[in-house]
Amino acid sequence: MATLFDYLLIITFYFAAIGLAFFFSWGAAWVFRKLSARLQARKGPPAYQPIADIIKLFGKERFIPRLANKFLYTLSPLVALSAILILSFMIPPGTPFWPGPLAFDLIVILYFSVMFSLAFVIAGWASGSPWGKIGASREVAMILSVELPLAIALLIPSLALARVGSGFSLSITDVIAAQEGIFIWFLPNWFLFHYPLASVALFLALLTKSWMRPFGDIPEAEQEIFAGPLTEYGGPLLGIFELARLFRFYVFTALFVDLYLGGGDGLIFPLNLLVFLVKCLVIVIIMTIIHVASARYRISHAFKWFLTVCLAFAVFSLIRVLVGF
Amino acid sequence: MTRKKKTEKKTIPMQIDEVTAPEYVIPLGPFHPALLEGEYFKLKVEGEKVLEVDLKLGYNYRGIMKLAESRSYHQNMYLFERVCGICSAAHTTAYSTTVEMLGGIELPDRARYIRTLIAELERIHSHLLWAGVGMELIGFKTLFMLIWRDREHVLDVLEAISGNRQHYAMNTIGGVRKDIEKEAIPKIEEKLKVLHKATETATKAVLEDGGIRARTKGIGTLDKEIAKQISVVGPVARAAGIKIDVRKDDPYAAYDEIPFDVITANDGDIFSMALVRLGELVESVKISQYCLDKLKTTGGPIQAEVKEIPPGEAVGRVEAPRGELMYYLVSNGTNTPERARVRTPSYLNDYALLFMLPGESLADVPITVASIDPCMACTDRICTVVNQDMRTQKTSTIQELFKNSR
Amino acid sequence: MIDPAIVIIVLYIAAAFCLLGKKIRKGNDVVALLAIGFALLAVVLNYFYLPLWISVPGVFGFAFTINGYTNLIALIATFIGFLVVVYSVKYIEHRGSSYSLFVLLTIGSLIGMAYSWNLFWVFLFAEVATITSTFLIAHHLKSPSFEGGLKYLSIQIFASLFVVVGLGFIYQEALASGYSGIGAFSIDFLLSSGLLTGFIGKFSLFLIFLGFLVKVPSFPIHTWLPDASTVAPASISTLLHAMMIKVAGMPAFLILLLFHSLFVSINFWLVICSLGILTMLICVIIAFAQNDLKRLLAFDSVSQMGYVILGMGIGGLAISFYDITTDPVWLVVAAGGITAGLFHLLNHSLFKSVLFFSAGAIEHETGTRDINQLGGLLQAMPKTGYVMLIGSLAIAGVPLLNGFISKWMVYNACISAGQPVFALIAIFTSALTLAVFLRILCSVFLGNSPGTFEGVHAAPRSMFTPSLLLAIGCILFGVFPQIAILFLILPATTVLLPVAITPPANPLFWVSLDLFLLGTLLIIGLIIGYLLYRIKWGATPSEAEDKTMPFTGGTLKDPYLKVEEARPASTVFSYPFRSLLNGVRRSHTGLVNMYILWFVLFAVLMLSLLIVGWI
Repeated sequence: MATLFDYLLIITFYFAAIGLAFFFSWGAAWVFRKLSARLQARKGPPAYQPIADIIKLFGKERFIPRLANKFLYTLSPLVALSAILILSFMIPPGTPFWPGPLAFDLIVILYFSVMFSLAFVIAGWASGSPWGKIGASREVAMILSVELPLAIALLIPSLALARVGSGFSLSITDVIAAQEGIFIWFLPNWFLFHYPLASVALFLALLTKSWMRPFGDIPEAEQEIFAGPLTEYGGPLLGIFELARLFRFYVFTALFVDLYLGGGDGLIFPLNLLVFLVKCLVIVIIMTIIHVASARYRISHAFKWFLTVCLAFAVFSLIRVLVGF
Repeated sequence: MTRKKKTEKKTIPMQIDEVTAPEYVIPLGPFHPALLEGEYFKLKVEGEKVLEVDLKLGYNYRGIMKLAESRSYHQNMYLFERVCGICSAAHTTAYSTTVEMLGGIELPDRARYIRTLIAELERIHSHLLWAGVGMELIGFKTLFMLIWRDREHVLDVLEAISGNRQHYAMNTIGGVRKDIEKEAIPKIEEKLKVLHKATETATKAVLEDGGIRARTKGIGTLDKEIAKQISVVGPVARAAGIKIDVRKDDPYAAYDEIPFDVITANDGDIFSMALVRLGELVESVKISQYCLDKLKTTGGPIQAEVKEIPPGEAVGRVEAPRGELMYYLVSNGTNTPERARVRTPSYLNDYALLFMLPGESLADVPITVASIDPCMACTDRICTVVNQDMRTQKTSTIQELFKNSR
Repeated sequence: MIDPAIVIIVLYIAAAFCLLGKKIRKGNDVVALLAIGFALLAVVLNYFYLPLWISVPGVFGFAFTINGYTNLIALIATFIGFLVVVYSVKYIEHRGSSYSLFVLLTIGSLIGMAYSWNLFWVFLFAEVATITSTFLIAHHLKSPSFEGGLKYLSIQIFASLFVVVGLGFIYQEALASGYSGIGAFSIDFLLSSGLLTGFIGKFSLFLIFLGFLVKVPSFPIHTWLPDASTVAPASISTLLHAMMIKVAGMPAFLILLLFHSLFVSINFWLVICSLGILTMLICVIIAFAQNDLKRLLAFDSVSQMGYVILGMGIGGLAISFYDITTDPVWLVVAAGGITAGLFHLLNHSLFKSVLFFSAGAIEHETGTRDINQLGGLLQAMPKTGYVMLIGSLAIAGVPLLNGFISKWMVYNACISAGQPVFALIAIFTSALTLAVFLRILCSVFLGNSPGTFEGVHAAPRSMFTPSLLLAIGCILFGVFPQIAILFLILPATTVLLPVAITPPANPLFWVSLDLFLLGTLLIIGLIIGYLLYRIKWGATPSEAEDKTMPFTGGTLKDPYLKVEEARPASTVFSYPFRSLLNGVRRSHTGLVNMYILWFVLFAVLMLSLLIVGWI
């Protein structure tokens, strides 16, 4: 059992991680909005806009719709925020020396990402609006379609650790540590090069988890069902939801960078953080371009896509890991 | 009794339940992000599959036809310009054509070409607007932005010609109000080239993008036979394979001498509607170019002399961007019409939705509704009065409203 | 220690008293409560191995043993049995003496079965429990209840045939070696004498295994459980799901793990694991389609037992295939798999009791079990709703509730045993379970009320308190699983393992999953969110009750909008699975002949595999 000192240390790191995640997400959100605006022949917002939008929401009136269940309506944004804050702490910023994963592993990360989506489902149903309910049921369908490829692609690096020689471990820091060095020729020893198809599957799943088109914004499709689960939300509670959603720019990109892009590449302290953040930003930019360049599919398309193509990619890599070729 | 017993024997209570989603009703509208104007679809849904549709119109009633009876023919020109923001030129063209038929007025050549040019530029603007909205409704925001950026070119042209981006106020009885100067024509031609290129890009995107295909192909299919029975008009009919176009069938303005193709498709789904509209864009650019060429050579006046309108009645038809627009006027010899009747294309096309929507997913409802390019401002003729306390509702027809207003 | 025989005799005598006090209902309740209270006290005392020894003379010939494993199973049986009796006081309104009689008989037999360390006595108590519980299932005395009861009885008796034949083979072996009497079936005797060797031993044990596998239940023979528990009263469904399938099903794995030296083929254990996987995946998909609240819970129960089978299978794989006495890594895997399986067993009886008790309360108050007709009950029955929320989230594996820990342990066991495919399918099943329970929660408790439940009020206290207790248990074991693992599970695991293990420093065996820290961080996050929400940023909050209507384009008072008609029902969730479900549906014909045929085919397949020597 950990001592009190360990706990204090971990909580310090927790707040540090939140700060890092917040500022990176702010920047990434601005890059996302500016880049998509430029690609759409618009001017785009100034850098303070992502956070200004949220602050504006906190300045508004607090209210609860009449048909809503007060307790769950208020609780679910808090749960969403709490889950994503924990996620941003559990996913280390590119360094294997991070206290979070000593206490948790990849399966916990997976479950917390589901818990984050779960908050939206409960919010949609608790708000009492028919559009919220449709959005919530779509959110459930998205959880189901993404879950299997996501789980396989998440676990492949840690399963492959046994082949690399580090022994069995589900800890994300061991995965980061295993990716130092050179793969072949000049390519770094990233799992991206070992298991490219699995990385594609994980990328698509994370793209969807972070509300990016072609599949991600199906549960909150504005033209079809208003704002989906968040239709009834407004004021500070919507602000908390938006704040939680802001963190997606850090959490899901950092997860991909840590698992498949080698995190900070084992450099010394300020350098590895820098390298890590640059990689995250590159992922955000790629996600933005895909988001901008695609139409929104239907939920049935998402099902088909994730449970055939994406799953096939993941399973192929899984067979490679297990059989070893 | 015996029958009941038989069924009891057949059913085995311990089976697994059949996988059914219960039916429920979703109100889509009158205010909904997908609907640009007020209309109300009562969707009976199973899961996300639409089973039945009920359509309610009448949220935008303005009593324009009644107003028209108290205004002179020239004043009515400005009234009918404002029936619809997007197809204002089509309405005035239809109105002035009808009045010219009543009064037996012959248009000068130059006025015919200018009228045609404005009508086609308006069609370009309307179809580009539709394409943008359609892309937005399937979640393709980028293409929406880009198409609407290209639409600015045609609005620039219209502004250069008429001074306005909308409500061009170009038509008048017996001709047009403004002439197009020779110096302006090369600039317009340049813009037309840009538009042609933009149209090609949009067509390419629609044809090649997997997302657009997946969201439109085979969605909202309107059968040709049903299309004939409910007499849809315009691109909706042409997408279902019915080759009707007032410009060819009953030419007005300068269409009798201009060569152009009537674009049709066979499937009747949203994809073919998009293709028809995009094809028409190309044709419209060609027609505009033809008109500009003619304007370079043709001289003469732009307005004919208008005398008193004799008693009688006339029906004028025009191919508006959304389909056949019909005006019916009765004259009693005074300077105000006895009766004015407007039959807009959306009025016919709206009811096609009752056949297009069932069987589609809820996600496809917005794009299907938008695919017929509904224009409620044109259409609404019925008003529903809701009694708040009694929780009853009463639908008033136009006659009752007349009665109440007297 | 108190001899279990006393407990059982007390319960049986109390049952007989219930028969006498036909006219006094309250008398029945008091007698039943006293008896079951005594049983609970005795079982708990047995847990501490007190030196006080009260025993009955050996004339009865019971073969009870008190060790970690029997203690765990007996504790589950008695504790849930106690709550069932408490719950029944208000829940079962129209009953004669027979209800309490059969409940006490069933619980007594199950406690006897839990403590028995002799295959014959296990079988005998199982038969008694089966027969007495049939009357309980058919308690309502209506045509479907009889049908469910008869289906249950016929499948169970058919399964018992396998056990009888297996026992016969064993007895033949014993006779050939010169032993006779019931003592020949004693597990300790069979283990120490080395009587069961070679093919006959393997074959007979496998037959017994098949017989008890029906009671677990596992995939191709799971059909009796939903059918029986749908028609039974909710208290009896709880009894079936939280006690019966555990106490009566666990002997299957008990004999496999104890006699692991006979089953050394890796294929055999992989088949067991695959059975677990199939059970959990197929049944959770079926659960999607159910509109009957209890039926849905029942199919989900079968699915959850898949995790138990998987955990046990992984444990057996590690025990029999690898030399765990010399290899500490595989010892940890074996202990982990079995611990995970047993912990999930315990957790399942906690949260499934919560759910069935709540479902019973809902049925009691509203008179219907149809999910699509229920709605908005969180306003009418808030306590039941929140308790059921906890139970559902626990069964779905939401972190910081007990289901998460045991599932997490199962995944870890699978992955470290080199079978990550099992873990991945189990993770997917967990997501499906979440969807199933969101369907219940959203449709029954959230959502709009259909308007027919105006007079519904909260459930009586005696029906609510048991589920509250169990829900608290769910949270307690979720945050501090060490309590359950160290005091309840680990002693049981020690019995099932061939070598003694010392409790590892970290009770979760592998990387440390520090749940206390996780809880702290979660609460810090919630506090941050709450502060953000409460801090006075700008406009003052107003009591916006009537002002804020659902955003559908107008206010509720506009009748044409019909917001109250817009009731998206819960089956939206199952919509994408329709084609798959319809296929499964066709195979479940509801005919007991077909189900027995399945069982026979399954048994023939397994036995032929065994005879060929593949498993």
